[in-house]
Amino acid sequence: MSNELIQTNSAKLTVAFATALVVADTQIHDDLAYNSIKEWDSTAHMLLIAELENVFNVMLDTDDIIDMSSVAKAKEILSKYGVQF
Amino acid sequence: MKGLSFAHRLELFGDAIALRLPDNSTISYLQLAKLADQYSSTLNKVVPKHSLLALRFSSTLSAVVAYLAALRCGKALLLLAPDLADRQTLALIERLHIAAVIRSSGEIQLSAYQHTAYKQKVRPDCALLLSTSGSSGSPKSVMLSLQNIEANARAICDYLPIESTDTAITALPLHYSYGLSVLNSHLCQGASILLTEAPLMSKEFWQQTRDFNITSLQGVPFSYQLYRQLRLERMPRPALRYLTQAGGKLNSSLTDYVQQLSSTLQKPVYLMYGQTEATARIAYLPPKLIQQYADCIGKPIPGGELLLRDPITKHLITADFTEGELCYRGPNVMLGYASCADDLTSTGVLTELSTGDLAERLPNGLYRIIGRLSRFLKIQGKRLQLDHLEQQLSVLTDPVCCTGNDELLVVAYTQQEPALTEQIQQVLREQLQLHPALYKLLQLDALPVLSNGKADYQALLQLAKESHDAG
Repeated sequence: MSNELIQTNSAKLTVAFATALVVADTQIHDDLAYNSIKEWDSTAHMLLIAELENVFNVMLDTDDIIDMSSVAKAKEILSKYGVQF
Repeated sequence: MKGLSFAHRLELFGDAIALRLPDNSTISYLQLAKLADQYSSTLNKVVPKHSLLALRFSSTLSAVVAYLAALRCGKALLLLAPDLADRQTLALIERLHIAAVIRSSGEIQLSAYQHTAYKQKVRPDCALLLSTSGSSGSPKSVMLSLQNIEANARAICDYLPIESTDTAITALPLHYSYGLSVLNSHLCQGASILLTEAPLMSKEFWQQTRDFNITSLQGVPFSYQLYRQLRLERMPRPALRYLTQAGGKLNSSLTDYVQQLSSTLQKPVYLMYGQTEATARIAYLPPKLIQQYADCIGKPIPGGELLLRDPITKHLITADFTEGELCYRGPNVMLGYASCADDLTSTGVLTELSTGDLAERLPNGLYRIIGRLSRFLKIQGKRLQLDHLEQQLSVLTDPVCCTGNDELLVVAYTQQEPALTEQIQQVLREQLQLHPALYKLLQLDALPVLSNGKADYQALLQLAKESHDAG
């Protein structure tokens, strides 16, 4: 997979997080975790999952949805579905 | 039978487990009674008689002990969201002259009213105060008596299949009437409940439902949206026996989902209707009717009575399929509202509750909600008084109009001020915990009005829908 595509995926992920959590792009980093900021609550998580499924055209398993506890974890899970970062 | 309420009868269940904690420890009914009594003696020492207390009601052992202690020793208690902002807490303290706030840890913080509280005489039949709108810190609270709480818990035990071997989970916050009713009804039946603070959308929560063999799940419409996204129907949970839903009407796609869920899992789903003003529950749909009558709120809970009245003349409506205001009578109807300290000393007792919902009765006796008389929305199970919100927002911009439906709040204003959008968003986010996907802000040249000069909320809603669909 080309570096370019990987960069695009990272950018898409950041946008998806920023949209669902309604925070600035600059706040999205690997360590950002579920419930660590008030913006990342159950509502935002639900929208985030919908956004990620939509952007990367994947259908996440239940275990993966509730396992997505940080940005880094999201990347790890999405790579199982063939999305590379 | 000894005692005024389930809180007074804890001892009767002896060594049975009342509370389970995420670390696998357990608290028996006997232990819980002892813990509550120890805490009661602290409350009796520290807090003036006949004063009002508030509790930040987290789903933790110390908070549940404080709650039961207040019920057992007869201290009026206002339940707060555990994370209610300090500013909103202070406003409530001032408005209701709260003598002390109990933190989730059980620590008692006396307020500036601890001295004036000696003169306060909260009506002796007022045991509990609940906010009408979840966590928004609305100034209006509902006053409930011990009899209200006991009657509703018993009615729930009557129509829900709660068994003493059951284990519930705090899927909903305990300061919210629906969440509280789950705790109360399980304690009333000698069953147990797992106190978890894990959010509904977390791995921890779902592990707990499995590891603790949770027997029932509750949810407001928003929870069912989560259940759908998590594909609950595919999660093996053999211990799960039934589900309940309340806190607002399901939209049609969620209704479809709940029907499917019930038939896929082969487990009953109870669609329920209620209001904090009636302690929690008012009506329920017998689960065998869910495929055919999911649009109905069903029939009154045991001991309750539903009736329809003409909204203007208040005359009783007896004909089928005739719209009227849904009214409710029963032992769980609140004492009244309290918006200020004076209201706490009122003496009236409400016998009939006007729900503000418009409904009709079917020939088979089931009731169906068809509209709403008063101006409120129920977003994610939280009631939002639109007039109150308009007042709040008018500090930022005037004129401002609020309308919407249970899925989308619409705020319209005319002022052209770039910073305004952000200010309104901040209020909606911080005070009402509303995600931007749940509201639409409209900046208009003029707000639509009806010929009588009043705001045309229908037109606004239409405008919002058009702009929502477009963008």
